[in-house]
Parts: sequence; C-alpha cells; structure tokens
Amino acid sequence: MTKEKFLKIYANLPLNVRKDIVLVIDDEPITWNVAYIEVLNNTKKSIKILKRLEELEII
Amino acid sequence: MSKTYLITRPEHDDTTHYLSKWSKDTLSLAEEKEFKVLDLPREKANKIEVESKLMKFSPDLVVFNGHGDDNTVTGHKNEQLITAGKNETLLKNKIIYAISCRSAKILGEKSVKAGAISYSGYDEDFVFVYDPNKITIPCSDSTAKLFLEHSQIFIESIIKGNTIEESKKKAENILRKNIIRLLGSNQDSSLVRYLWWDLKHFVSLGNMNAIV
Amino acid sequence: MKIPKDIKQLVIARLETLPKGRKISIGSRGEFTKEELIESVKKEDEIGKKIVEIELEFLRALKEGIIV
Repeated sequence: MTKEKFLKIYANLPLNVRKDIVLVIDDEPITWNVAYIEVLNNTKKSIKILKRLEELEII
Repeated sequence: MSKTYLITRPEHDDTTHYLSKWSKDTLSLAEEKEFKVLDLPREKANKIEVESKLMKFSPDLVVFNGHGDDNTVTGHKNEQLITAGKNETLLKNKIIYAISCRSAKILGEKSVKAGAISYSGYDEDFVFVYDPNKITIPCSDSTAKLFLEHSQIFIESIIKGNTIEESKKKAENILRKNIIRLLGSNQDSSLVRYLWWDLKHFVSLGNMNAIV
Repeated sequence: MKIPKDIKQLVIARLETLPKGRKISIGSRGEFTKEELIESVKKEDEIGKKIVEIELEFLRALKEGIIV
C-alpha cells in the first residue's frame, strides 16, 4: 500500500522536483529518483525510505 | 466621485526597500485612473500620518507595505501603525491590502469585524528571495520579480475596478505561472518552495465581490 | 520541541541547493543568506524552525500535486 502510494505520487512529480532531496537515511541524502529506484527494486533501504516518508506525511 | 488611495512605503531595510519600489508603479496607475493618491514613503509611513490620513480622507483603498505580525502592521522603523484591539476601526469601509507578514491572521479578521470591506494579506510570514547586487535597482531584480510581481498586479487590478476575488485570482495566477515556469526541466526549481508558501498563505477576507 | 536529526539534515541538504548570492527575506524576521539559514537550522532558533516548517509543508504538499 505504501509502495503504491509512493509510486503514484512519484509519477505525478514534475521532472525537476524528482531530482530534489526528499529524505536523509543513515546520513545519506536520498532524492525522489533514488527513492524510486530503491522502491522498484524492493531493497532493504526502500523499507526504511517508505516508512520515514509515511511518518513525515510526505506520502 | 473620485476615489482615494493611501499607501505606506517604509524603506528602512532591504525588505521594505524592495516592497516600496515594487509598489511604486501603482501610484501612477492610480493617478491615471483619477484617484487621489496619498503616498507615505519612508519616515512619512508613521502612525501619526497614517491615522491622520485615514481619518481626514477616508481612503477607499489602503495598502500597507512593511513588516508586522499576527496583530499589527508596521511602518517606518517598524513603528506599529494599526494594531488589533487598538485602532483597527480606522479601517472601516475600506479595502485593505497588507504586505505585512501574518497580519491577515488576526488583524485582518478583526478589521473585517470592525467594518473593513475586505482585508487581503498573508496569514504567515511572507517570504521572498532577492539578489543583493540589485539592491539599488530592485525593479530590475528578476529573482525578486518572481515573488513581488503578483502583489503589484493585485493592487493594480483593484485600482482598475476588478473585484477582490478577480484580483486575487489574477495575483495567484502570476504566482502559479512562476511556479510552473521554474518547474520546467531546464530551470532551477529551488525557489518553488517559497513561491508555493506565499501562494498558500495569500488570503482575502471580507467581501470578495467588493470593488473600489 | 527539538527537531529530529534526519529532518535537520534533510532541510540543510535542501538549503544547500539554493542559488548562491541570493538573500531570503522571511517576514519581519529579517534577510538571510543560505549559509545563515543553515546555521539557524543547526541552532534550531526561530528562523531555523520556520525554515523547517516551510520545507516540510512544501514536501507534504507534493503528494496533493503541486499545481493546484
């Protein structure tokens, strides 16, 4: 569900905004594009990313 | 019967300097439309002058450039001009626009309750970005233009006889247009967040169908 | 209320992308360079908190679609 929310929001983001930093996870800046790649690949990082995006009400 | 336009234009810091210069063109338009113009620049943007002009001339349109907070709009060197609970009744029967931060939050509401026809402004800090190298020629500052153009358009639209609602839409459309332009893939979109903030917090209270 | 570490890092990283040589006027609070804003976020002073608020509000608005 969270993954779907993220993908829907990502799809609607202007191209320029996708290059913006949206999170910092483990001291690493994560852009929307980086988050997208992680989420698509169902990585361990993507779990952290989605969780934090939801906590911050960004998705 | 000729209308009267009162505007305060303090210029004691970068912010007020920019606001003042960016609203100056509205004076000539008002004169063209045969308004009586009461311009209070720099140290003339003080409480005594403002109260006196409000009482003596009962202007139809009042624009406050300057700083402020939820309860007040300020003038030269941040002197309080109109403060909620003290003298907002002076704004009765007038159309007000305050480019003073956050004053629409409480002063705006109280002014309308006290009889102001409408009160437009911001219910949060008004934010704008500018190029300090252009401080002597603020109207040539293309960065500042992104943020301040809508305000000028808003005032001019009211002067031209459009309703508050129509004027607000025109102003908002300018901000949206600037947001959309900066979101283009060949642009720097880092300023969009501040344009969006100003758009979101630009409010009008009272009679939206009012015209000056 | 203390600003969580990752939020501070996020806001600072985003502030770093602001264009050089510009100043930001924030209401009656004054005019600031991006370096000054970054310092304010680190110190968690009133300006820093306001900047965090602006950034988060914008990020949250993206899910509604930014052109409304």
